[in-house]
Amino acid sequence: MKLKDLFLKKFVITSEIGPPKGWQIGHLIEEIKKYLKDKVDAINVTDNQSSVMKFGSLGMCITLKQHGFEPIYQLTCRDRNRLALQSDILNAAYFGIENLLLLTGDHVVLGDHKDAKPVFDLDSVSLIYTVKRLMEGYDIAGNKLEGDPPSFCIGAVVSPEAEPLDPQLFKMEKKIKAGAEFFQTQLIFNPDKFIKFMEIVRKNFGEIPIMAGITILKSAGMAKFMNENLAGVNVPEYLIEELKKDKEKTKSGQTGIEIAAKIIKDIKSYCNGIHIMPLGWNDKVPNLLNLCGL
Amino acid sequence: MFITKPKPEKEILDIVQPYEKLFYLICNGCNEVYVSIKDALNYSKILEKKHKVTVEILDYICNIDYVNKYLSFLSKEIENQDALIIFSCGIGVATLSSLVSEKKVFGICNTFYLTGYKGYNLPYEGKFDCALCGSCYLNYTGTICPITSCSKSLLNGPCGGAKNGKCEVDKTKDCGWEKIILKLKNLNKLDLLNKQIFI
Repeated sequence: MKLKDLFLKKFVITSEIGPPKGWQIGHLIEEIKKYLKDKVDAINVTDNQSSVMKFGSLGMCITLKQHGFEPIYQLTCRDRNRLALQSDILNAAYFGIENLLLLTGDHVVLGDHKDAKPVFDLDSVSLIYTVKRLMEGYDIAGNKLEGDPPSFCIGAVVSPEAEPLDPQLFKMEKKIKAGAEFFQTQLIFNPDKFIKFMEIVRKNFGEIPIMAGITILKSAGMAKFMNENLAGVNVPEYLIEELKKDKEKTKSGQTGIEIAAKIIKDIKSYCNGIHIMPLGWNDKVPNLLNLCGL
Repeated sequence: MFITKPKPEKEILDIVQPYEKLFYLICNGCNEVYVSIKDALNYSKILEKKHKVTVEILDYICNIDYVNKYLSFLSKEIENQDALIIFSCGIGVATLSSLVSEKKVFGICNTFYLTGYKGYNLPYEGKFDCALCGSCYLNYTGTICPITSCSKSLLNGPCGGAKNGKCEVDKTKDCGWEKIILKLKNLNKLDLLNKQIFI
């Protein structure tokens, strides 16, 4: 099912999966079945996340679909030129994938193949436009597609806690004009900032569905690392203190779950859904959803 | 501007190892390519440890007519050499090699583009740059080039990877797109960028 149809019916919950560095994905599928089945509406699969070479997003999405899950196929512009991107999108259509999340992608220097040639032939905006054109029955060079055009729901990303915010809003507007139908945000740790962002979004861009990005903090060290290295992420000091307070509780995941649940409760009524990035802690997702009554 | 930088010693010594007599040609460089004569002569000393080396310094190894004439004067000398070693940019190595097809020719250097040093930019530490993309965006971007000021050369706005205004690729580099947007916002000209999607 397309996410845009789901937003009309409910508060949408998605979770993110990073495929392994290897070809055997059976254990991951079992893990997803165990912890995420009937808990989330769709599963978002990363595309060589952080520029680290992994099992492909498309292969993982197809497998998820075969196991009855609703996949969201992430595509970045880092590794493929416009021919390869369009071709992969047509593949996705054949395999019944209906939701895409289109991003520019991290630079290769951040990953494990630092000498790789970074492509960026398209960027997130032009990739969104490309999918829109494919859905109109044309490739990006203007050639007509054979048969029925593919049909997708196009997702994009935005960073509500980025400073300055203006460049984010500028790009968000371009993405909407290009054809984005929903947004998934960078991790939210400051509900006040997020609510302010949502007020701007509603004023400028109307009712476009927004899913807030949520993670379960694993340690104070992780929070500090993200503050120093992750763009648009700002874990406030009081949350870092909370993580430090009871080390065993934090280690078990309970502190992170409670923090995430509190954030979700604070922002829930302002957005259309949440997107959980468990970073390997898939087993903690059911507890988190329970705690915030979702 | 291009710059030549000698390859690691081991790489060169391995490749010239089978040849005893080396004819070592050094290019003086030009206004497009910087060649460090000091580095070049230093390499000669490295080669001399295990090889018999004849050194010549030339202007414009890429000038095919000039080099052809020059080589004709030295044809006997070159005939006795086992290999020719060139200290120049890649174009110099290819030019010279085309003139002595019967000889082994090896280049000493890696050639790369020195970002920022186009035009009279040298005194300003390469503050402005042009990537010769053939599709100038300056009229839409407040005259800040998105090709050279953005590490991903994005055309439709920032990637979201900047942290505190600095690029995800290089923390000492400002995010080009944040500069573009803030400048256009101050000029009240953001609509220049908003109206179109660049592909």
